[in-house]
Amino acid sequence: MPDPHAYRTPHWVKMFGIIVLALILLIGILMITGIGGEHGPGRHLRTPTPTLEVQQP
Amino acid sequence: MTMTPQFRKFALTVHLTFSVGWIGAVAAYLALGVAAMTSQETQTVRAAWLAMALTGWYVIVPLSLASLLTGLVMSLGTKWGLFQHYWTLITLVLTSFAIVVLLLHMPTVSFLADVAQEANGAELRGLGGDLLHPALGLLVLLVIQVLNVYKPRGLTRYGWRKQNEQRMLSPS
Repeated sequence: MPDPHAYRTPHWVKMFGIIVLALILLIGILMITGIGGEHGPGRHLRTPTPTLEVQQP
Repeated sequence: MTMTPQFRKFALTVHLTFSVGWIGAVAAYLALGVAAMTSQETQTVRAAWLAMALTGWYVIVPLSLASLLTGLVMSLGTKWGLFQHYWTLITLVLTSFAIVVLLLHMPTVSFLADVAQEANGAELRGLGGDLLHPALGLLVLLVIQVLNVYKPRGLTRYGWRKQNEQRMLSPS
């Protein structure tokens, strides 16, 4: 029988920890595999190739 | 260190103002991020990026730091403490994490706002918006808000030890 005076981590904290760990793992996998795309300003600067402007005479 | 009831109420009002203001400012930033991503108008995209940089540096960053500071005052000046209850500890960790990510992300926003100022139509549309950071930030802030309102029970190991010590010291 467990000691009623012993310290026990609350159930909601365990659940919260599991969710946070799962999110960290998910973000880690997305970053390592590159599925999530590039991180940082380069992600925004992937501009379309500039079109050649033809000047009208 | 315990605050007087009057000072506690004042400190709580200030803390709530900064914290709820932070959430509102991030929601406004998210709206600008969506506008920058979806609008076909170059003026709108450019204005959105400039507004995102200004809102970030002059509203979100100060509010986040003020929220952290007043939160520290609140937890240290009340019975809750900083490390004794899980909800205060998790709030501190999540707030600090959100501020670190914010401070690391803001130089990128400034850089992109500068690019937006000079860019032409095609380049501007290529910039896209800023959705991921504010959306995840908003989620973290809402989790903090829920923890602060519900204050779920649960002592940390440190809080449990401290409570036992106090129980043994107090005359019964």
